[in-house]
Amino acid sequence: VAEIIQGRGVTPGRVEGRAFVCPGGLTGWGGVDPLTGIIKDVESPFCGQSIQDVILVLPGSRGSNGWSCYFTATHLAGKGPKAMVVSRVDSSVGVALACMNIPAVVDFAPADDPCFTIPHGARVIVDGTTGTVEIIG
Amino acid sequence: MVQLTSQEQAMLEGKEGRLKQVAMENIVRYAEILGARELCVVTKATVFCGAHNYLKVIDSQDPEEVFSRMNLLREENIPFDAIDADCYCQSCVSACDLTKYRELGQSEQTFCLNQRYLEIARAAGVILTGSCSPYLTGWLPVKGEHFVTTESGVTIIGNSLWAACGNSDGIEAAFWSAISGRTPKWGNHLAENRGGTHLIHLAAELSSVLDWDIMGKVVGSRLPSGAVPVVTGNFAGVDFTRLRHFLTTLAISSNCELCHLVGLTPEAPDLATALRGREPQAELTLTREDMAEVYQHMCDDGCGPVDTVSLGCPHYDIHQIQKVASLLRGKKVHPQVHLQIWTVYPIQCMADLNGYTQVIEEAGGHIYSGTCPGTIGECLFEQSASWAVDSLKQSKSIRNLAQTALYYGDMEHCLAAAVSGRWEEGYRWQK
Repeated sequence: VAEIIQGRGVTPGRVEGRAFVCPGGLTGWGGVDPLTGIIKDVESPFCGQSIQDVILVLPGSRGSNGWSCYFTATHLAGKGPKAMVVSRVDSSVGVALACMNIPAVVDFAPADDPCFTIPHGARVIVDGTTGTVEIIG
Repeated sequence: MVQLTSQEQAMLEGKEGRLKQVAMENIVRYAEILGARELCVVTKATVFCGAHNYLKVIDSQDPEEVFSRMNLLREENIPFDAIDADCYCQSCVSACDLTKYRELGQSEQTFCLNQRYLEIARAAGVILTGSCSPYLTGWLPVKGEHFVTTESGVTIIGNSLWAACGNSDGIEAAFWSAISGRTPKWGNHLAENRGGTHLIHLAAELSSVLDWDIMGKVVGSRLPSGAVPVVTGNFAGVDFTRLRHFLTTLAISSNCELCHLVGLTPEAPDLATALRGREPQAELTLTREDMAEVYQHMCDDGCGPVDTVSLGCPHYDIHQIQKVASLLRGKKVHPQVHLQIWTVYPIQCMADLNGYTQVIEEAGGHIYSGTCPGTIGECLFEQSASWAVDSLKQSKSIRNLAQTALYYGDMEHCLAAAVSGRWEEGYRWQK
């Protein structure tokens, strides 16, 4: 039986994909190459990996105020994530979601924190309309 | 549902023009995502103007087209021709120095394109400043004033030291706010969200600017997302330079927007007030050993030749430039070293006025204004095989963008490296 966690849907749309779970967050400015979607932050355990077409799972933003613009640029280059799942929305995440307009669910109860309930690499279905994230395997 | 005033509704309906309408559409959408119930009036803004590298994802040399796509999120071209008349709006760093580009590895084409972006912003009413440190030129929001900024260090300084109200937002939203004069009334704009969540005891004695710079990352790297630290410790001898380094590195190492220092910052006269009477979610004690652990990852081991020495992240104030001139007087920078001092144009003028520029240039150094290495990007980093810097923020930028030897120390030792052309083991922090 698939596990479903409930948050607040903020951008409508339903997509399925592989969860890319970053409990320590990702930096935007200088942390992601917008032309390739490759993580460049040498302090990130995911340095060298791509965020293209993944379901990006984050606790919130991290680093410079130039966070949203790097994710937006990555999105416009066709190298961005296909959905975002965020433990707790913050202002940088809010701007990024307003710009990218990809399905997104935010603001989970602590017991359902997606950074700890979704295994990295799991297949999930994100429904930005109902605010649910279904972990299917 | 976001409640709008009649003026905000009129903007949304396009009665004040298409630019303000789109800015307000975006602000409302942003507010809905946050869960904000209303907007607040913004009276101070910094915006990120220029031919910045990330804008290259749009294959166009037309600033209006790129601005519309990247900052307004619209396919139609919308001229950026006005900001809110009541908003004091300065430009953050641009992609180029005000006049120099070849020595920074940039093409004339890049410089001219950057100038076109700046000219559009100037005509719209943005005060061209070109600094990550707008407070150096009088941009100073007061307690309770709502501001937006494109610089994370300014967000946390504004909230923490001045008790002004700002969120990190982002590059795009800063433009929307500067144009519409509004931002979502959410997060740090609401008094109930400004209480501390985590109690941090600084057990280390902090003295130098470098000490505070390093400790900012120590604190930031221990904080969970969304935390508001309340810091206790011995703050004797602290000044604005130390605090802005501490807060800047704290901000870039986390997503922290507000930090209370008990007995020092305006919303933290005592611990209970800083915590708003609540129990902290966690309590940490940080030591010099924690600082050493962070430092060893930010500075290469050993010694070696240095090609570039870069100082002024955040942009140097005039007192720091005076100190550089004092340390360089009668000395010569090694002929293989590019010594860069980064600041903002009015401070550079003061350096000219006071003779510091002459001393620095006669020694072989260069003062640049309006930009910084992290903004110029790879074309600058590719010029050098080894860097020495005096800020953790700059060290992190270089680490992410370039494969180069990298040394991080205080101003005095960086200048010693500039003169000798070598970084020595003894220049390291605590050596």
